[in-house]
Amino acid sequence: MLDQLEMLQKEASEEILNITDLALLEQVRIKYLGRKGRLAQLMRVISSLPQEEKPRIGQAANECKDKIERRWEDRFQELKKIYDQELEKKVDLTLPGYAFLVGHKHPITQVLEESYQIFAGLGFEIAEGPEIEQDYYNFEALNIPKDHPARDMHDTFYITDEVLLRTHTSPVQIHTMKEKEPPIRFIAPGKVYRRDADVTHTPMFHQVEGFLVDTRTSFSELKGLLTAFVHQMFDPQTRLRFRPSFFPFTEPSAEVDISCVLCRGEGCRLCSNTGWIEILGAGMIHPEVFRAVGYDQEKYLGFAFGMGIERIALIKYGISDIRMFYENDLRFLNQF
Amino acid sequence: MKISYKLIQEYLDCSQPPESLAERLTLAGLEVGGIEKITFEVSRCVIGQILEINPHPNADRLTVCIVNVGVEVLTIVCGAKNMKATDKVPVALIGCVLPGGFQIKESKIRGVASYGMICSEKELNLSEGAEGLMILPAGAPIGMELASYLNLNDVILELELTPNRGDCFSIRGIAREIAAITSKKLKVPTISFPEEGGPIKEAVSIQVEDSSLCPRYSARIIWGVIIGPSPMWLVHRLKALGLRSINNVVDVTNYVLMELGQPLHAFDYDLIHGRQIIVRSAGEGEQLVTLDQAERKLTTANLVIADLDRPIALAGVMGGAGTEVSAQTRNILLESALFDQISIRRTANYHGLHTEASHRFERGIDPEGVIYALNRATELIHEVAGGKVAQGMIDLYPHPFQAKVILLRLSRLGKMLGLEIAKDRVVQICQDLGFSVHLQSDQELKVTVPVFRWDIEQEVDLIEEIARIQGYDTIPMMLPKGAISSDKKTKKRDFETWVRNFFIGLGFSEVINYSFISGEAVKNLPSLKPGSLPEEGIYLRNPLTEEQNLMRSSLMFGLCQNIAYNHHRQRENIWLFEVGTCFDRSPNGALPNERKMLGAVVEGLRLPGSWREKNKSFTIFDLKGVIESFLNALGVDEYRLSTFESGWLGSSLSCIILVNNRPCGLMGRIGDQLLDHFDIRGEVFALEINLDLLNISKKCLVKPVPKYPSVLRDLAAIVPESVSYQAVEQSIQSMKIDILQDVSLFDVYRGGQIPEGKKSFGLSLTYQSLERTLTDKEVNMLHDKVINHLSETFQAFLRE
Repeated sequence: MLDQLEMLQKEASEEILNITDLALLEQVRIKYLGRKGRLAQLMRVISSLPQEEKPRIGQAANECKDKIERRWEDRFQELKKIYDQELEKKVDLTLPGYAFLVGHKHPITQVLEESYQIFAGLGFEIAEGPEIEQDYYNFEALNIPKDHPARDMHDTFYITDEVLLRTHTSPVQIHTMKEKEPPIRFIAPGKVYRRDADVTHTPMFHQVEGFLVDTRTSFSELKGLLTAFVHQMFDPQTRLRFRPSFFPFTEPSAEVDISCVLCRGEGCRLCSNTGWIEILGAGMIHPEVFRAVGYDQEKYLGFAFGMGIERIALIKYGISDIRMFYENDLRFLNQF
Repeated sequence: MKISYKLIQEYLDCSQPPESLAERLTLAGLEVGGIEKITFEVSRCVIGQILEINPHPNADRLTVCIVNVGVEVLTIVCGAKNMKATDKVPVALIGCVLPGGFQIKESKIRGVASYGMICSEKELNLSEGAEGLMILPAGAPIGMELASYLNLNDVILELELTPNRGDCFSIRGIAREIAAITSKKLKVPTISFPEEGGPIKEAVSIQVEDSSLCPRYSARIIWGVIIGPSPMWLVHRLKALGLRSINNVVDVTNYVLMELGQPLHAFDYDLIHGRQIIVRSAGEGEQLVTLDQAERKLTTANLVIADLDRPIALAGVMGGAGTEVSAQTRNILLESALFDQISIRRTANYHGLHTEASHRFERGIDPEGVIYALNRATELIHEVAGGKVAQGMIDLYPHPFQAKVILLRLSRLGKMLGLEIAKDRVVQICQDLGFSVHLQSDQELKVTVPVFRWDIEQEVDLIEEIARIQGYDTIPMMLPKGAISSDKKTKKRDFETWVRNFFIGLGFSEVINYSFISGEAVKNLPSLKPGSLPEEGIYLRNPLTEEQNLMRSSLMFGLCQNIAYNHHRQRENIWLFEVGTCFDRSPNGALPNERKMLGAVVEGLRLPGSWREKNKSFTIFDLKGVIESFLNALGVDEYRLSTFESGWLGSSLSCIILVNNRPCGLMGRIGDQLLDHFDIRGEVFALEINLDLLNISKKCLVKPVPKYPSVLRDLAAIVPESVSYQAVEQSIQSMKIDILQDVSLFDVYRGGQIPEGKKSFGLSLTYQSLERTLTDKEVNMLHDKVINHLSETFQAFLRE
C-alpha cells in the first residue's frame, strides 16, 4: 500500500512536470486528485484495512496527496504565468479607453481668472458691485452728467429713468472709494451691458476695472503696471502703445494698444494692418470723481483702467466673431 | 469724420506723408481709424470739344459726333442725348482702358467707324449713377489729360474723434492740431467779396428771445443768386469728404461746415414771412416739416428759428421744408449761429434726428469763428451762384465768451505724470496749441485758453495737453510703489473658482448666457423660480429685441436653450453648468436683489465616454450624487435633500436642498412642458443653488485620524414600501450611538423572497472608537440594539 502511494506520487509528479498546457493540467488534477481519481480509489482501500494500519497508511496517503497537490499547484502557477503572458500579448490595446467625462471652462472665465492671478500678484484685491445700477454711480459720479455727449459712448439699457444695466465696471470705483480711504488698490471684474449687437459687439460682455489711489501715484506707474499685466497675459515680447484719448472720469486719459500678437506688428487681418490692437482704456482719476467720493484732490492721486475681457480672449485664442462666446456651442467650448 | 489731406494743405504747409501724419495724429489723441487713397489715373482720356452732332445713318438712337481732341479731329459714334455742339467732354482715345477694364478700340458701330468714346461720369467711375455724358466746364483746355485736369488724387483720413474735441470737427480744426503737433504756423486765408446789394438791415429784422440758448446769431443776404449744379471742384471735394452734391448754395453751406466746423443754413428769403427771424422756444403743439419731409411735433424744449407766423427751422438740427432753397430761389438769407450744447442735444435726442450740425453744436463750436464762416460761405456762394451780397450783416452776440485763465503748477505736472518737463518746453507746447502764457512765478504759469477749447476747464486738462503733445511714450515706466491694502481680502471669487473647478472635474462644461431672457416665453412656462410671477420680473425699458427683455431670475431658461442648441447640432450627453447673477425685484430697495447662482443640467448617459457601460442613463440619483458630493466637498455641516412638494420645472420629481435647515436650492427632473417648449427630447435633470447662501469658507481644523480598526456590520432591513430611506437612516442616527461612525446604503431590493408591498434596504454600519479596539461582543450588542430598534419602529425584520 505504501509502495502504491509512493508510486502514485512519483507517477503523478512526473506527469505534472511534463505537462505544458493548462487544460491538460486540469485533466491531470482530475485524474489523480478528483473525486473518482487515482488517489481517491486508493484511499477507498484504506477503509478495508485493519484498524491498526489505518492511521499510518492514512497519514501516508495524506502526505502523498499534499505532495501531488503542491507539485500541481507549482506547475499550475508556472503555466498560468506563461498563459497570462501569452494572453496579455493578445489584448487589443488599440481599443479606445473608457473615457472619463472632462468638463471645459469657458474661455471668458479662463481669461478672467488669469487676470485675477496677475493682479493678485501685483497686490490688488477684488471688489464687486451690482450689475443693475443707479444712474448716479454709472454716470453722474463718474463726471458724465445727463445731456453730456459722452453718454453717446454708452448705449444704455434702462429699467427706469434712474436705474440701468451698468455699462462699465467703473461704478465699482465709486462704491469702493466711498467706503474706503486711500491707499487702495482694487480690481473689479464683472458683466457689463450695452445696447449693441454685431460681429464685434454683444449686448453683454465682461470687463475688469482696476484702480489705485495713493499719495504719489503717477501716470508713470500706470504705464508700468499695465506693461507688467500685458507681459504676463500675453508675453514679454509684446509692446505697448499709450495713445491720448478721452474718458470723462480720467484725465489725462489713454487708450492702450498692444503690438499684434499674430503678426508681431507686421500688419494682418487681426490688427487691420496697423500692427496694433487696442485692448484697454486708462488714465489718472479725474478730480471730479475724487470730489464725488469725498477724497482730497490735492493730497491724493490715482489711476484707473478698464479692459474688455472678450477682446483679450479674441486675441489670445484667435477668435473672429465675438458672438461665439455666447452661443455656447459645445464644439466651440470643448476646445478650451 | 473724413479729412482730405489735400485740403489740409490750404491751411498748413504739411510735408509729412499721409501715413506718418496719421500716426502722429493718433499718438496725439486724434485717432486715425483708416486711410483711403483716392486715385483717378485713367490715361489716354483727354478733354475734347464737340464740333458737330450728326444723325447716324442706320440708327435713330445713335449720333455721329465730330470731336476736336487737340492733335486731331475724331469721328465718334455716341448714344447719349445730353450734349450739344461746343460742349467740352472727356474722350477716351483708342488704347484707353476705362476703370471697369474696358479697352477702347477702333470699331464700326452700325456701319459707321468710331475712333474713341465720349464718356459719362459713371463710365469713368466718377459717380454712381449720372446719366448722360460728362459735360466739362467751358474753360477746360482741349487736349489735356482728364486726370491732370481734374487732379483728384488725394488721401482721406478717417478720424475717430472723442466727444470732448468739438474743436477738431473740421478741416481747419485738424490743421490747427497738426500745427500744434509740428510747431507750424496755421495759414488763415483772407476772404473778400463785394457788398453791392441792398443793405440787410432794411431787408430783415432778427430777434433772439433767450441769448443763453442762442449766444450768437449772425446772418447775411445774397440777392439774385442762380441755383444750379455746383462746379466740379466743389462736387469732388464734397464727395471726397463723403457728402453728396445737392445744389450750389446748399453745397457751399455743407462744404463750409466741413471746412470750418461751423454749421450754416440758407433760407429762401422770399419764403420768410414778415421779413422777420425770431429765435425762440417752440410753442407746445407747434409743428414743422423738416428738410427730410418728416412732420415734427415740437415741444417747448425745442429751440426754433421762426418767422412772423411759424417755425421755419429746428435750430441747430435741421432746416424746414417751407423755406428750403430750390431751383426757384432767387434771394438767400444765410445763417451762422451758436446754439446751446445741451438744448441742441436734447432736441436732437427727442426727435431722433442726429445731423452733422447737431453733432457739432453738441460738442461745442468756436464762438469766435461764427462770422469768419459766415463770410467764407458768402464768398463761395457769390462765386458759384452769382448774385449781389447785401451790404452789412447782422451779428447778435450780447455776451461774448471770455477766454479761461487756468493756473498750471509745474510741480503738479511732474508729480502726476512721473516726468519732469522743462518750463520752456511747457511754455512752447502751450503756445503751439494757441494758448497764451504768463509766468506767475518760477513754478507757476497762468495759461489763457481760447474759447473754442471747451474741453479745457482746469489744471488737469492742461496737464493732459502738455502730456499728449510731449508724447505719452516719453513718460517712463515704473511699478506702483506705496502701501498694499489687505484688510479684508475678498474670498468670494476664490469660492466661485472652486465651484467651477469642482463641476468641471465632474465632467460639466461651463456656459455663459445673456442675463436677459424672453419675458413672453417665460409667461407660458412653469415657474423657473417657484414663488415668483413673471409679471413681477425686471423688464428692460429698451430691449434690443423682445427675446431679451426680462432679467433672468433663474439660470434654467438659458441652460435649456443651450441643450436645445447643441441637440440641434447633433450633440448628445450634454452636461452643462453656469455660474451667474439672477435678479429679483426688491420690495423696498432702490435696486433689485442680485443672487449669484449655480445651475447645472444633464442629459444622456452616466458615462458617455465608455463603450463598456454605454447603456446606463443618468438618473435622478446621479443628480443627487452630484449635489451630495458637492456639499460634502464643500464641508457643509449639515444638509438635507427633501422632496419638494410643489414640484419644480413642472415635474414632481424634485427636491429642495436644505443646508443647515435653510433652503439653498432645488434639483429635479425637468418637466415635459418645459422640454417641449425648447424642443428637447429625452430626460433632462437640473439643479440650481444659491451660492451666496453657501459662501462659507471651508473649515480646516483637522479631526484626528483613528488609530484603532473599525468594525463593519451589514444588515438587511425589510420595511413597508411607505417607509423612506431617510426615515430609516434618521431613526438609526437618533439612537445616538457614539461609536457608530457611518451608515451607508449598499442595496435596495424588491421581489424574490421579499413579500409584496415591502422592500429591503441593505445597510452597512461602521463602528469605530478613537480610544480602543472594539470587541466583537460590544459591537454585536450594539448592532442587535439597532436591529431591535428598527423592527420596533418600522415593523422591520431582518432578511437572511
